[in-house]
Amino acid sequence: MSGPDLLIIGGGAAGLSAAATASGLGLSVELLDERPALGGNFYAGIGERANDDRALGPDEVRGRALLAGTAGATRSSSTFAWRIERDGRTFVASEAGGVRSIKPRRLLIATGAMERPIPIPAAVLPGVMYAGAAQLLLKTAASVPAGRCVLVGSGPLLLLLATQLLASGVRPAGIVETTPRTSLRAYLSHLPAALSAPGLLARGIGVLGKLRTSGVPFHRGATQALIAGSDRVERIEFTDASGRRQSIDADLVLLHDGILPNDHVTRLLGCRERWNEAQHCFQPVTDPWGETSLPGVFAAGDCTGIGGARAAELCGTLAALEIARQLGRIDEAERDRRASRPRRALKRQQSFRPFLDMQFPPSIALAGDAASDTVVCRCEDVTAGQIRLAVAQGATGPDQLKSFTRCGMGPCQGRSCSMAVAEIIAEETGSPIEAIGRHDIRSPLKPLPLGQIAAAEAEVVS
Amino acid sequence: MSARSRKGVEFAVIGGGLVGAAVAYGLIRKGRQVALLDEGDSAFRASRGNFGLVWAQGKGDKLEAYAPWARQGAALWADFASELTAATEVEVELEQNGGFVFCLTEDALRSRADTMERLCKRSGLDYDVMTPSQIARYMPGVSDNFAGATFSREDGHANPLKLLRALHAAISATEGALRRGMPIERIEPVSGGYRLISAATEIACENVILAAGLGNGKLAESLGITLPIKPMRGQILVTERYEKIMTVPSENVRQTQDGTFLLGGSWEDVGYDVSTTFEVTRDIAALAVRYFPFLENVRLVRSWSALRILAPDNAPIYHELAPGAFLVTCHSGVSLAAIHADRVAGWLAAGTLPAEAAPFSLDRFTPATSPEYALG
Repeated sequence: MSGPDLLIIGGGAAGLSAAATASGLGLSVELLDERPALGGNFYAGIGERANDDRALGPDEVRGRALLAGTAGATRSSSTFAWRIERDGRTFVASEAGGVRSIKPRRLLIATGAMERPIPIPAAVLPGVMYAGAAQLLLKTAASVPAGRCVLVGSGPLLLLLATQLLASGVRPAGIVETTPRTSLRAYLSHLPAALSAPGLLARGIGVLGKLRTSGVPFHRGATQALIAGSDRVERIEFTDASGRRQSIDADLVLLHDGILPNDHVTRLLGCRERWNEAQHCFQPVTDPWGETSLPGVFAAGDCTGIGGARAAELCGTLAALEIARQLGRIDEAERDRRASRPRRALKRQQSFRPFLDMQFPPSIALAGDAASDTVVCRCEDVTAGQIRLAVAQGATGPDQLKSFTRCGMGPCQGRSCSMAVAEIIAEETGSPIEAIGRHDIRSPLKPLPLGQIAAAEAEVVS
Repeated sequence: MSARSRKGVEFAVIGGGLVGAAVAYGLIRKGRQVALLDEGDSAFRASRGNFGLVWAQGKGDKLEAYAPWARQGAALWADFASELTAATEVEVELEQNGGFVFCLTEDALRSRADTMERLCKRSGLDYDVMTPSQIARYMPGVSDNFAGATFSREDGHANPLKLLRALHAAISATEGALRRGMPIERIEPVSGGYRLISAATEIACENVILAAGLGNGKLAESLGITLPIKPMRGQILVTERYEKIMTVPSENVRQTQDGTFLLGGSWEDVGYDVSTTFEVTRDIAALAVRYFPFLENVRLVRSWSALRILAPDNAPIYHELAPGAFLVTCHSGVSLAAIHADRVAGWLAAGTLPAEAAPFSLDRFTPATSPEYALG
């Protein structure tokens, strides 16, 4: 049995557009997504909900068009890659219980973004959840929070979610924005580039306008935010921009401090990565078409650096064009002709990004000076204090630290702790974070029952 | 001691894994001045891939002197563990309630029992042959879908990661004894000792101990000696946590104190390749499920590979390569940790290898040196 020309992991904006472009050029394409429905984070729920565009606006329309364009690809949801070899051979498991392997000619990783984990002691308190998770519930299940809900943190998504909650009839009890104030000089230096993408800027201004006129208490430039509560969340305390200590009672706190590339797969494969200072994250290195340091393995969208859904879609298209050229479907001239419009559009999108990065640096998620009792690794229950002790006892790198403390060894494979660990080691040893790096990723990418692995024999086609 | 004037450090130990750390810990306890030179985060680190058995049974199959040595190594472990824990507050999770080696077929079990019988004559290590229903007393949930196992009362297991951490913690309690980020590239003899050279720095020492695992090959070359060691890959699977039901480990399946199951036992001659493979992952999982059917529903959380450092007879090598330059290498860094910290560190502190060490010297790999053979 021969494998598909292209296997795409992740059915968000990048994966969908790549699938549409590649299958449109005659490539055989398989598209996998671990969630029950395609769409990723930004277009979550597009395939499932009835025609209720009320809360989500024109994005849903665009998402549905993207999804419709992928009809030529073999699409599987509730299916995840639990093991990927460097030659692209991918072992997938479905929730139904099967295990199979796929040997594609090219692999495209389009695993999107994840919430930047916020290592504060209260993050494990009942009644605290990440804003992204709340937004997913809203998009996929039309589920809205009950009780007094306060949004805390920084980032465009936090403010967007506030307007989406308002549109769904939920009035937040407050927004506590911890974004540090930008200096006028920095603001002005990034503004011209941002103005080249007036649509995005206008959208941002629109969100702010909606929040101001809504009358929801909106505290900008808050510092020393603290979530208080014994058994569960009771209130949020903070110092406002004028230096006054304030308190808002809350049943639910929605935390957010920006998003990170979900680069677990490229890390597993050992693709070269670099540190992105502006976005305070690691990201895989790709060429202008999205090919990683591992020939034949491509990555596109937010998993290569945060660019947003529209940029992800364009990157997916560009990757598919180059893959089609490598596989002989189109020649170089044709690839470049088809790439010119998306590349121009991508440039506009990317020109806006430094403005956003400058506006919303991580503010509460930085772990270097996290309190000692902060649980950094939730799987293995390892605190910031235990990590500092292990560093003092000789663990000067994330892999040694992992073996000393089990931090990063649990079922999440370090998805939630690896940045915090790098920040703490950097702080303790005085080394730059890019020199520290993150621990190695091991198979499986997601936990899988041994029986399912043991039985794989009969089904594997080699 | 450190005030004594000398050319550099008294003992430099190259390699911060279990072998080097155990020797360095032992030397420090014997009052010696030590610098343990650890390569850094990217080292191959067989220590991190160790399965964690504290094991005597079956050792010495190809070098019988190893059988009593391994047995003594296991016997020293309890005191070693309690001293280490007392010094560092790191619990190394030692359990010595016995251990099993499973055999699928009657033939394999018979052959295994014959080997155990032969080694018992040399080491005195007693053993039993057990059927699956007898094994179930120690390892509940075991199937009856295999022939049986050999059991030794003196075997057990510990947590190799905690052991390494405890050793590092104990060593770093002495100022300057643990030096990190020191990938030594070559050794140069100088008057009164050695100079150890890395890209960034040089270290002078009176005595040097090569305990760098596979890295010893290159280091010994710099002294003009070729070592007969090679990597042998082992893959290990780790499951999610489960109720603690097993009191005794086996060579293929063991349950740690926090409840996860470790599954292992692969031997692959694939050079310096530390990747894991689907086929071996599947085979390890399938064998574990055959022995313990309930594992079918327990989820695999992590897998990894590490390289055993193997001599042709699978036994350790203790050898004085040049005056004051000693080689200590083995693939049983956990099993032999106690005896390395105790006896081997004692030899090194004395500056000479005794007759007891002779069977483990490199000379055993150099045939054609016996007079009659050479003359004939």
